[in-house]
Amino acid sequence: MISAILVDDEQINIDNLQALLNRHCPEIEVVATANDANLAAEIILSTKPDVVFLDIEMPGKNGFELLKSLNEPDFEVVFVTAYDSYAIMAIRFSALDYLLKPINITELKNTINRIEKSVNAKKQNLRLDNLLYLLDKKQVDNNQKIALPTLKETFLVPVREILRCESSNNYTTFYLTNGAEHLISRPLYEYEELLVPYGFIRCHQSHLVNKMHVTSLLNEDSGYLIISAAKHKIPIAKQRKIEVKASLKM
Amino acid sequence: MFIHLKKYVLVLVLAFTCFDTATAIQSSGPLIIRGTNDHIDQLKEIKKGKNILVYTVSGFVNIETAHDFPFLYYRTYFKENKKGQIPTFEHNVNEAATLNSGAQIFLDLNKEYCVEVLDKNTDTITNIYIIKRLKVLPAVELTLADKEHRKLAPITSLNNYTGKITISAGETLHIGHKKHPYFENLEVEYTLINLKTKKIERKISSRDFGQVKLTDNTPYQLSFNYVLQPENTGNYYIEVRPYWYKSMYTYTAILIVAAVICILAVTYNFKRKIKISKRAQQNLEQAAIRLQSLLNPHFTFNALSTIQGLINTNRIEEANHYLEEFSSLLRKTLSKSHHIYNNLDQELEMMRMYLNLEALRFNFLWEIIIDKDIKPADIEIPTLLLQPIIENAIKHGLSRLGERGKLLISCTKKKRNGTFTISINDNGNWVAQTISKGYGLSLTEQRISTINQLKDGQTIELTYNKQEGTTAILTFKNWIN
Repeated sequence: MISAILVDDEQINIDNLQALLNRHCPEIEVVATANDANLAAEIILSTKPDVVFLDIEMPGKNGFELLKSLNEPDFEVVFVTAYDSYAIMAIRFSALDYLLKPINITELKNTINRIEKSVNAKKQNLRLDNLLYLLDKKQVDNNQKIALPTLKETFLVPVREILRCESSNNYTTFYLTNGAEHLISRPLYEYEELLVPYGFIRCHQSHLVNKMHVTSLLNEDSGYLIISAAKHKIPIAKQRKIEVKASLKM
Repeated sequence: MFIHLKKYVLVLVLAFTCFDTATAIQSSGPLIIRGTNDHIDQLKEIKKGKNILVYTVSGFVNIETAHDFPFLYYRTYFKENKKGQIPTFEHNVNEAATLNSGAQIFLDLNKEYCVEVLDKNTDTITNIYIIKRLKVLPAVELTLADKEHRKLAPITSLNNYTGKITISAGETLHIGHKKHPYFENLEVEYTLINLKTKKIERKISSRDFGQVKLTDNTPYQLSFNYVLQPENTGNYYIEVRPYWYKSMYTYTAILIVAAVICILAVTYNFKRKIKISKRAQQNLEQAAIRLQSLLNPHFTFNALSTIQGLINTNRIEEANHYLEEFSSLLRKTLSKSHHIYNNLDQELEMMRMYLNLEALRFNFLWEIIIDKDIKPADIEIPTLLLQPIIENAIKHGLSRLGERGKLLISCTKKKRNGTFTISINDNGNWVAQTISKGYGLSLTEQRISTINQLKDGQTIELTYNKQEGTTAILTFKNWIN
């Protein structure tokens, strides 16, 4: 059993989530609920849950402020929010889990599956730190780190050290400047959304490239982007060529 | 106007002389007649039997008797110059004495003076001298000094001895005259006056005036007469056309073209400005519409979440009720989303629905009070302007108070300038900072400033009052007509 705490300022939302968990995720045991951040902090410290379902928007302290107030939280967090585009970007950047209100049952089940796997690993601290850093900055910065959760461990990689990403089905391979390759079990389009603001370009259905590492454009076939340092030759899709050229100012 | 330069040639003969053909005979009669000056050719004698015609140009004539004829005596008289009238003879015997000493007479133009020479013995006329002063004018010829030496003709006839010609700019004009058939060496006085500058050029010559280069776009007057006959003067008015680029027509044409261009430019500019201002207006309106948050997505998803909660906790009746309220609010806001303004009546109705939904979540009490002077159906306010402000009051002021929360919305008419206010008071105690940071309120402020640009003189102002909870006050100035 996985012990869980539900934090939301509206009782109806707590009731809702609890009902859904009871019905669809019997492996989760809700040990406590809280209607505000301060009460939640107390309960977390006393019950040491495996996972906290945390509403972001709450009067008084919000969900992020609650996390900040805890020293080294050693539990999984699933953020629950109605709508906040920036916070969700930051959460995704840190490879953390979140649920949108109203709750989609399929997403809830997927999330719980992931949580089950990672509860034992307890590797979430770094990711939470990254999230809080991002939320503080609220601006685009190349030094920013992105969390890359592989099956074994989660890597925090500065965005500028990513050369490119390549998709294979629902997995994405990250090629880094130090020669490392990480296979992440998330589709490429998710990372496209996250990384395009940092100067990445989707030059092909299967390729997302960091523009700052591109050294040349090869005019063979419908064109290739060259990253000479790593000797990578990335194809450009015919229909994207104009867009790619414009974006590279070539 | 170039027709005037037709190359027809006309010689201007200005002398009014219509003599029978006659041979000039050197005077050998009893009288010696001289002009006053030393001009040789001022007299012309023509003998016709007893009659001796003497033509003179100058006015003064000296008449002397020849000493070889002592048996003669003379009768003199002025002949009236009326056509068809028989001259009256005045016998004046004493005249002879005068003639002996050399008489000087003055003749007006075309006047005739007769001297009858009579034999003392027989009392018969041996000769009649008819001295006539001819009215003469130099036959002036104007020639263009171009290759063809075109002679120029005056446009008007020479009545009053006045002619008018026009020449092109830059042409050189040669002014001269034809010799008179009788008086070949008579001197001609030329006077050329620049009518613009009043500069006068004068020349006396028995040959010609010479070549002159006339200034363009200037009128000239050329006067001419025989020196001996200054009372008979002819005139030419010479108009020198301007260079094409200096001509009035050119100026007019340029002016018209410039005016047309100006008008076009102005109209174009004007149209463009209208277009721009229309576009600006449209942009503002679009911005005003865009900025009006439909319903805050946060609210929307929270409402859906509440409905989900009601379903999952088996509160089906409540779920239905909430869903109905929510969908009718959604419908109303969507139907108004493309209108900048909506009447206060409907706006307050929407806010009632909104407050019902929010009160279900947060359990606060609320009330809307409308001043009896205000007719909500007749007042228009920006669509959904109140919603984010009320939402802010709920979020920061009421959400933590639960059942103790109270929200009061009051519409009050002010005495001056058609002004009224809508105040939103909550009894929460929220931090001053959050006032401006609240979600949607920066958009609301942008929207208010956009709408203030749209409407002339009508303005909206958003202020806060921190006494007794927090009050947001919307002041609509000049809003009620």
